[in-house]
Amino acid sequence: MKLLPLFVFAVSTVVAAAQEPELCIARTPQQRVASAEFGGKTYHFTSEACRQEFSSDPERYAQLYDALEELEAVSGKVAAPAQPSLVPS
Amino acid sequence: MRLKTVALAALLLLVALPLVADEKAVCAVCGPREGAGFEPVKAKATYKGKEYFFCSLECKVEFLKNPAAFLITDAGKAAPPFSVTTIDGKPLTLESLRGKVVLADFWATFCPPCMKALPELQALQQKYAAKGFTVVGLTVEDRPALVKKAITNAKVTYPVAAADADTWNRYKVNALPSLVLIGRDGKIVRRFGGEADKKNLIDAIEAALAQ
Repeated sequence: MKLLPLFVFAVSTVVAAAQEPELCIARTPQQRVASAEFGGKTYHFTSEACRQEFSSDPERYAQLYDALEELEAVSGKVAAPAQPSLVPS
Repeated sequence: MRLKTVALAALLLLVALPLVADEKAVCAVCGPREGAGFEPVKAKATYKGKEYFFCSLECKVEFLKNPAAFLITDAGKAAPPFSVTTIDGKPLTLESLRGKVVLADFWATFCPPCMKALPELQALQQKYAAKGFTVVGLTVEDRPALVKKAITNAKVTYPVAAADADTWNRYKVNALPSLVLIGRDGKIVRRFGGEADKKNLIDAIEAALAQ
């Protein structure tokens, strides 16, 4: 019973990450939980759910992740999701 | 000799730079949301066979997060009017084409799928013109020489004109190429784009001509 809140939190974390591409990007080797290849490039994700979402439409998500990477490189800041997230910073 | 080489390189740059720097389009995000006009293209994306243009990287990210929010469904509605002058100087309005099935092709010379489509559209023009069909090419370009070269190379015989930002916004053009099929009654039949839609396009043209 004590584990129930933790379980709910873990599930909600996965659901939130699947919907926030900024949170799916693995920026350090330690964050790499899953990966996928598209267009000759390997994309690393912070969760399996993120990888599954990427694989559902790789052409779209590859462009999205590349654009987020480019935005971060230009601004010097880590991209943040537009909506509040359940995942603690 | 060296001075001549530098001068020639500078001249070539002056000629080439406008061709490279002059890509303008309606941003796929700002256009429908704010009615924005033509803006310099800062980013591009491909989605389901169509190329989309954006005024910023941020707009590209917003679009790719939820493309469905920016796709348009207006089948059955009256096609917006347009009044243009073709590149050979003739006035052309949608109203003057009432009674014909019209395929409005929104295109640009800097859009590779658009350029590839030109001879294909000409083939449709030749096949169906006698049955009351016409393609109308509406380009964003303000470089008539480039447009003329493109349509000459493709042996295009259907009318081609430059359309202003208002026309693009009325037609909610947020991607290139954008094909809008308009029935004899002036109503939008359907929008098309991308390779996968070719067979659907032909079927729709034939169905519209049979009306």
